[in-house]
Amino acid sequence: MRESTRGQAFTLEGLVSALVLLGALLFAVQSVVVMPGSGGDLDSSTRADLRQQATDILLTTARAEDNDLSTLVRNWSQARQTFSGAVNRNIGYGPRTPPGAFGVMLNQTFDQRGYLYNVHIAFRPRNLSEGTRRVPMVNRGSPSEQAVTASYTVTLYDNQTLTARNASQNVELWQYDTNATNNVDGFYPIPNAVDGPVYNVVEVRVVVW
Amino acid sequence: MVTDRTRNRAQMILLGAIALAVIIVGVSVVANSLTTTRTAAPSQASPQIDEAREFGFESRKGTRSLVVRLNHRYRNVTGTELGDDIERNMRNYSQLLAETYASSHAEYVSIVYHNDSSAFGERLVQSGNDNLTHSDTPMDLIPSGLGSGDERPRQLGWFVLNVDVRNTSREQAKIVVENTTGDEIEYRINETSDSKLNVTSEVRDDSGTVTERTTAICDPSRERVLLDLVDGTSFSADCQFNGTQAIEGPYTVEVDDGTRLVGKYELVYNDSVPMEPNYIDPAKCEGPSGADIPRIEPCTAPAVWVANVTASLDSSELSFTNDYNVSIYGVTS
Repeated sequence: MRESTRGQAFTLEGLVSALVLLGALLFAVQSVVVMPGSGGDLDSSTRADLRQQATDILLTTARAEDNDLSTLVRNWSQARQTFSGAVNRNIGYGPRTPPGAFGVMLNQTFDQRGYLYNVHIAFRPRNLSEGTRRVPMVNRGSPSEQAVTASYTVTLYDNQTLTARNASQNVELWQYDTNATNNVDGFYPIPNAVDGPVYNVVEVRVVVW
Repeated sequence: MVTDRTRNRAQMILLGAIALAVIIVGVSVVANSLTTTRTAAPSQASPQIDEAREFGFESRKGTRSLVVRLNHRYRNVTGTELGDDIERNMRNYSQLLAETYASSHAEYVSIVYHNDSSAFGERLVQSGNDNLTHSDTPMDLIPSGLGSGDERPRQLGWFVLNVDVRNTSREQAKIVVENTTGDEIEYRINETSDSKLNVTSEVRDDSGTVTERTTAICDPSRERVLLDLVDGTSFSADCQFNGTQAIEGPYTVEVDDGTRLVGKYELVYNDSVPMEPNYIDPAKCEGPSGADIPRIEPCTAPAVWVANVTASLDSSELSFTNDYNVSIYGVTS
């Protein structure tokens, strides 16, 4: 009789042990945080990091002595009607790296870590009702829904010149035509938006995904 | 058969299960709290702070770039006309900036220029091609006033010399920039035998000892060389020499043998220049009558030295208004 009671007690102890363990496991499984990136998307932390890195690249380039953002925006080839060294006007540099430290930083920060990016120049047309226009500097496809954007504003002036190697230093920005088919005056897609020394205020936008 | 040994084993199973359960629960709590912290941290830093910093930097830079262009745009405007011109152009610039920021950042920005609170300097300009001479010899572009009881040399913000190389002599002309402690820079400028421009600069201390000497050969473009004597470079950056910044201001500027040097020049210095003996006493080119002054005659016009502006940024998370003074030539007087 005593042995039978002990046997029931052992069984009960075993059951209680199993229940305790099952309860702990259930608690642990239920309380696991499901991250947004679990399905392959960028989580909010990564997106914030990417946005900060893109902003830092723009800030660093804007304040550089050589090849600053203004220089890059004016690095336009008359012969090829796109940015100097670019593939074509539709994709800009496309798979190539943009010139100067800007390109090196984009390459090291995004390319080498498996991220894609686009860079384009948004500008205001002469007639504001036409909305904001843009010129692709680097086009590597359509951004995903999780893409992040960083931008920097650059002011261009009438008496600045194009910075491409073969561009004439005697022709100022206001003298160029925005009509690509009219080669008489030369072509630069960003127009003179206002009267006075300011030519236009453009925005360099980096989209990373 | 249950012995004491097997009973102890059964109790150990229960105790072990409880210990394991505590560990599982503890690890899951710690792991989750780490994940939550990592996710929440970056969202605290608002990107609008970066945008505000960018706007602060760009508004100063834009103001400086715009005002310097307007300062040197016309020769015969009064201080009031120049102020009106700057106000109008700043409004256009502010509107462009506002449209750009509104389209992408959902922020409103503005920059307002205050002419009454801005400080004016003076611009001495010879806009026609001629010798750097005057009836006075040597010619003082900024007189020292030494011994006159009104010793007021000037801070120099801009000193640009556009040299006509073909008509410049192969004999050296001299430009001497001196400060109040007796340090000086002497520029010797002449055409070389292969039609380039030689710019030799010597920095001397107050005892007359040469502390630095450079010789630069500048390639002309369309037979002209544009020299920036403040930074010590040609505008095409193909030749470098000692700029006036090599010695501390304020300065006096004197030209010797100016008949040997042909070109145009422009200086901007703070405050007005008193009329001294041995000073070229330039006409005032500001105002309508200034248009009648021949371009080869040096004349003076107003220039904004320090611009007072108010920059504002208004967004969902951040709003500020800054009133600041922008030194147009990067020189504090």
